[in-house]
Amino acid sequence: MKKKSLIRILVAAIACLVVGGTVLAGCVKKKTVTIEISGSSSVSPVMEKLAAEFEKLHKEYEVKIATSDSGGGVKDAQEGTSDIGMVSRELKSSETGLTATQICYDALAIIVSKDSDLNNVTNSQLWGLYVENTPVGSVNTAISRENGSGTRDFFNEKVMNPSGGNLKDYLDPSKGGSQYSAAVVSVLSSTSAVREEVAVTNGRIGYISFGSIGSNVKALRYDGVELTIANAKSGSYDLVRPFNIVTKEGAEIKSEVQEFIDFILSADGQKIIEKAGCIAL
Amino acid sequence: MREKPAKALFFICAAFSIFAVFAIVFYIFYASVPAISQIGFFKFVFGGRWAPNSDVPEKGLYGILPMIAGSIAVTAGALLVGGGIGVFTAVFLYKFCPKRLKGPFYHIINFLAGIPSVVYGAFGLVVLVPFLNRISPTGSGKGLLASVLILSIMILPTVAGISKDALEAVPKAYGDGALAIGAAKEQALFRVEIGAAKSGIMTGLVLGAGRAVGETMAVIMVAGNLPNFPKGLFGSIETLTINMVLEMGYAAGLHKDALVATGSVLLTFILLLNIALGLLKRNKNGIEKKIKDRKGPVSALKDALIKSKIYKAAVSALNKLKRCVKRAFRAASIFLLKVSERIFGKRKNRAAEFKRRGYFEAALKYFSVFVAAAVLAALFSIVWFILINGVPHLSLDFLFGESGNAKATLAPAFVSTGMLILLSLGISLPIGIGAAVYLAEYSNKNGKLVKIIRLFTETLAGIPSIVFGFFGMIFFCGVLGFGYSLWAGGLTLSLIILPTIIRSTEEAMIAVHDSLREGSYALGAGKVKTIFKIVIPSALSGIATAVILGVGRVVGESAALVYTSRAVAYMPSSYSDTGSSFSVMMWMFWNKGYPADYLYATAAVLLIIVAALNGLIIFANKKLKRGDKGKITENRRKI
Repeated sequence: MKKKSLIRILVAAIACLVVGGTVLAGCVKKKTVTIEISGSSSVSPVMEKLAAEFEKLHKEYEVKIATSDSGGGVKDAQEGTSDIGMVSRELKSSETGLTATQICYDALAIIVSKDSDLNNVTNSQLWGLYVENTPVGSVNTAISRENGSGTRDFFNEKVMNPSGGNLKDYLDPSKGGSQYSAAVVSVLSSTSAVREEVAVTNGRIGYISFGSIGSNVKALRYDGVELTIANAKSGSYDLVRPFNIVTKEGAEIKSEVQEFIDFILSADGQKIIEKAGCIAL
Repeated sequence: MREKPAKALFFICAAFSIFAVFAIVFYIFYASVPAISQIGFFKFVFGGRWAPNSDVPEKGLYGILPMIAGSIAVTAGALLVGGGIGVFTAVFLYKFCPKRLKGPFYHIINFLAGIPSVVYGAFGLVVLVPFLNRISPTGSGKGLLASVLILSIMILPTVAGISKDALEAVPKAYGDGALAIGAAKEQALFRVEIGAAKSGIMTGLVLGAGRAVGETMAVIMVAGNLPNFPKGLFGSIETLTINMVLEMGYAAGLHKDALVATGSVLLTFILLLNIALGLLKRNKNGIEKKIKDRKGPVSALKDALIKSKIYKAAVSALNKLKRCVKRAFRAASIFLLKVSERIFGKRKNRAAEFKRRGYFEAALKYFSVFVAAAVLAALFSIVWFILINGVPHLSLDFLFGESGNAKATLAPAFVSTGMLILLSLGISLPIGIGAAVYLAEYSNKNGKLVKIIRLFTETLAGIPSIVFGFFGMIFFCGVLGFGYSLWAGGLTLSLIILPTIIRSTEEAMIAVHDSLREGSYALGAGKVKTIFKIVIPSALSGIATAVILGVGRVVGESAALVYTSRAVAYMPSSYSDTGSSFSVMMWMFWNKGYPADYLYATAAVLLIIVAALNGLIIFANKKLKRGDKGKITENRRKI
């Protein structure tokens, strides 16, 4: 009896394994040439659109994008874990061993929830809100990105006090700053996570890439200038930064990676970038 | 099969968990040496500022005291709320639950234990936080209170299950004795039986504390994540675990080392909790054992400790605290009595009667019924909310459509989860069964070796998954060179599920009646033959349960996988490729800010899987079980 039931169960288990294994093997993708990309969560939405189009043109290639932040992109490219790192700012002087290629510009949108009464924000109001906790209209709390975020670095460099010192220096812990400013109530680790929290919370302000803006949040006019591609291109909207991709310096770039980079910089690629809400070169 | 090699093989399996614990502790501590020596131990542990510098890592400030404070605050809060609720739920289950409801209620609590932490986190994020936003003075609902509430629900099953077992283990004579000398039923319960089950209840609370300290993915969604000291219920906080997950993605140089060192501090906390557990168990074993234990060098140290002034001071302080609490209780009951006198008029007979019946304890009874009802309501609202919002979004395309850069679907999660289950079970099932055979069949049940093996298996079970994740990242991805891959993820998972498998299998083997073994010997079978032909087949229900519990753990795991097999939405092409299970994908949907529909739908899939697994466990217990009933599901909560 017992022996029989054991055998039966063993057979069933082996059958399960075989069936499961073949099903899995059937689902598993055929090995293709993959391009590994990682980094900034501001760049990744536009990169995903570029990749989807690129994969349509080249069926044999697969582009894999892992999202972290600019710091992560730099690190992965330096260590060679990724073919391409995405960085939503200029490279820092400390970030060596990399070849950077600018792929487009991006406007930084200051966002509030859709039904907020606020429509315009000035630089000095931002300073007042972030540093001195002075509410702007109904907005009294802010979301920050984490330390490694390129978006955060850019924002903090741009927000200045009347005497010209910027938020970045003001918050710099090695100069006695507090790292996160007073109005910050929540630290989130991606562009879209900031958007989702701002969308559902009244009185919260945040900053994200214009390319990632959705219909559930409102981009504020900054110093009176509306955020449009035209204004960003002409330079009248001040918060514009480059999107870069980085590859390991000196290492031989694989042909498929080069093909993808060429595609991004081609007229077709730049069209996709414009469509995604970023500003072509 | 030869007897001796077989025994050696089983022993190696059993010793594996010792090896695993040592490997994890060694690698985590070893990897934190550079950071701690560079920052300085005191600056690191007692530094009040955490401010990494991403330009020049060496220039950052790395003090983790705010995170230690955050971890302690959420754990204490969760113990106070969730622990309290858990104990009262256990009391309800033990005494006041109608017999017919007992089974279903127990299964419901087990179900609560099986829900993945990302699902709890998402529930907190979309339901709890918006609600707290409205009542918070700062306008932000994220922070201490939200984390405490979510963790309370998460540790409740652990505390409730173990407390219930402890209460059931109290000899019936205790309660009867109390009744016989005139105590009311409730008085007997709250004054005598709970007192007798104290060490078991404490064990439950300590295990709950371990779970709360180590929890990562649920708190990261609701804590606010600012590295501040906890300030009030609504202040944003960061725990040790949040710090590790949030910054590991981009940390480099000293910053990265400091994060690993954070892991070693977390691990130290867990090891301390394990020592507390060990002490609790020792208390249970009675005085004779204590005398016996005192002979070794360790016990000499203990003697010295007991004689020392600090110890005496601590004991007297504890006793004072106890007296205070007792006095407070007494004052409260007298107050209740006075209030009732006011209401009903001061009639001497009545007052005496109140006292005799123990109104305070009677009130506790209603409180425990209320608490149990609230737990049920909370569970149903969570499940209902997720299903209502999630199931409508479960389109065929979302489940099985092609996933890639254009859009993300759950199709890769089916494959990745399956691959992770196959790999982790393939490794830990043979080792776990071998270990269980050694523990149940070969060892002297009270021998030192067995105790050590058990201790280490329990320690392994108590290590938080984020620490496993870091170990996997350092060891499997780094040292063994697997890189970010399903290999690394599966190997990490196999360590995580090993203790569950050992315990579940061993319990079933112990439950196999000795007469079966003796019968087999009498027919001339050797030990190995008896094990394979009699013991293992008889313990099949335990093994089946072990497999199901293991699958459940793999499905629910996220913190250990994010930095080993990574969070991506692509179909894996092989084990050396990256891939994400359902839970990790759900976490990714949140982290990448996908619309809430994605979260709900994935959560619904996870709930359905967990419910199915729970159903399977009940089935395995009923159909396959040959030993005593109800023991096996207990394992789940001990994880």
